[in-house]
Amino acid sequence: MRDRAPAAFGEAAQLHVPEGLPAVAGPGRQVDPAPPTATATPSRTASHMAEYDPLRLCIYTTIGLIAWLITPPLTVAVFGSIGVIGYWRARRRGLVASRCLLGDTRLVIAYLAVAALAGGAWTVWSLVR
Amino acid sequence: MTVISDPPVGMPLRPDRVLRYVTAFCPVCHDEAPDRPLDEVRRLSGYLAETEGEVWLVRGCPDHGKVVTHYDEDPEILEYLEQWTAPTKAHAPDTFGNYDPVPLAYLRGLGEMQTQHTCILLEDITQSCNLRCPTCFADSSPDLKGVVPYEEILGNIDQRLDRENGRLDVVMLSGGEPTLHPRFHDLLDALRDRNVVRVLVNSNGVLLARDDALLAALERNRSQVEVYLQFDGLRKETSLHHRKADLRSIKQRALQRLSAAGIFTTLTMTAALGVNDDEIGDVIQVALDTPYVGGVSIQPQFGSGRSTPINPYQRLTHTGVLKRMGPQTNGVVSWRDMTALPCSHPHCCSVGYMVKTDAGEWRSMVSMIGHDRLKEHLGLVANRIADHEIPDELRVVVQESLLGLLSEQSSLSHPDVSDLIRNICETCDLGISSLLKLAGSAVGRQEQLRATIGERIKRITVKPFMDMNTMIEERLVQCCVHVGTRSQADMDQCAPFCAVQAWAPLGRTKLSEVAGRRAGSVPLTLQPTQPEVEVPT
Repeated sequence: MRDRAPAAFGEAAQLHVPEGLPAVAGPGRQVDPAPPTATATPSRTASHMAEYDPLRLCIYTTIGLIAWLITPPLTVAVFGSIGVIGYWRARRRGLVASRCLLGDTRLVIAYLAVAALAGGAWTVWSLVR
Repeated sequence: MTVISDPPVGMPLRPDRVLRYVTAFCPVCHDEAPDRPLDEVRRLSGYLAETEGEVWLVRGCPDHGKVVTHYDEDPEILEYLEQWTAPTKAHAPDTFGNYDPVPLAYLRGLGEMQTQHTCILLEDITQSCNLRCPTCFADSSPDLKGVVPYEEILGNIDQRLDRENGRLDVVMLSGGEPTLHPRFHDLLDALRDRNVVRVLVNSNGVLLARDDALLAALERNRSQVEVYLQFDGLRKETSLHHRKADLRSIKQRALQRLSAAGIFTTLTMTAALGVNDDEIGDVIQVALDTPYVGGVSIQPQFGSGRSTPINPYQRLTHTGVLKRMGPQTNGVVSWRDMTALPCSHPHCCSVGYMVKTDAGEWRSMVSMIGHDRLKEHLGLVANRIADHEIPDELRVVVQESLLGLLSEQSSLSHPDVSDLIRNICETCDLGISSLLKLAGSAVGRQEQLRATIGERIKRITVKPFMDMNTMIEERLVQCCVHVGTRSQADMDQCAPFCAVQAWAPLGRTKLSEVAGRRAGSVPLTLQPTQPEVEVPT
């Protein structure tokens, strides 16, 4: 990867060269394609809740999962179920990629569903044992 | 005996070759204060120079000294493109007497010193998007809620219609994802009633892949409407890199539905070095194979807005895309099949038409007419060969037809395209008789002609937008792709696309940004952009 101006130009300001760029060889042939990076990208402030990205529902489930360590897993079942419904609706309205680290909304839905099912099953098992 | 030679007298030759003197801007200054007031932006003396087989942009900054960035990959192709220039059209400035320097002038719309009219008026009608792509010049996302009111969009378009003497060649609806606009269908209907020749819709295709009502609205207006479908390649990794999600099946479905509905579609490819620059041929092949895909627009990634990092010393460029075409299409399309778009700066866009002959072979219009002859038809060179077979009046018709085809305003859904092709075919004897026959008898057979054009003619363009590492003033003042903006005095106006994306104070005059501030999704006092915090779940 080229990281400076040609010597023909003599003394020139050294510009910042980003790290982690895909490797390049020859006239544009790809070599060892870099995996997609989940780098944070500059953007405007992200303080507003997206109408298409019900992120908080995912966060609640995660908090519930943590709470599971000290409380009955009902919270997980409830928030997980709400999360699945919320993300399902969001996907129907076009949200393909969520701000959740999992990215793809299908993965988020699967994650929430597994959490909800586990929470529900554990709750039932606790009650009947 | 030892012989001591005298040191050489006089100055040596430069190790670089200066190609063109330009006015440029300092990317280091820009990065230090991206929100700097425009009257403090320095215009710097500079030049484009060739060395080590590539082209570099060199400018001198009082603060940072000599600043050198990669400008283009192939001097030979760049020189070839510079042969294609044609007269531009007159424009009406938004503010009379606006002789402010670039970029300050654009705060008051197009200035007196602009040298090209509006070929394409791009309207950002919403900030909101249903994707959060790592690369997005508009910096759109689901978080943003700026939706431009219907009346304001039409107000801006009507103002431009007034400036353009009553007719606009192209209105491009963009965003964000324009199809999310709550009154998108009404907008299409309203534009049908105006003297707007064509409406282009910039879309990521997510809604198009499943929204039947949206598709029906586009189909209803398909004689006027064309879709620019974001289509970066065929590999999963490409989609993940540019869009942060595997959208391949969605793109495929959107493309199939558009093609089946007979809606002209251009595949818009964002290409980045080392990511998908080896998929240029694949995307062209999809265009050649798919009915009603009118062509491909290949756009090397540029660094304005939200962008994955770009190396200032090594990037994919205009001529880099052109030189990859031949090897990646097995010679079906090469850079010799393309010309610079004569109406804009020759570095800003190249275009080529591919025509399927009656024998089923793809040939370019340039190769069928011949470079020299094409230049003569365009009036770019004096007539050297006696064009005895073309009378004077026909020569004018052919010149106007070719200039029409080779302009930003043109694509295959243009209602005049059959006339243009007929004029060219008849006088240049391109050997595509069935197409000529069809074009010649087009009255009452528009649908058949549309289908034939959709299958047998493809338009390939390369559109390198500028960021601060490649920005030169000469390209801005000859730009004809203008973004609808609003002045501080609340006047409708417009400004060159690359300038609006690069300078934050200009970006804030976009209609969608104005609407976003009203909706509260962007702080009123904008600060330099902050890194977005990824919320772990």
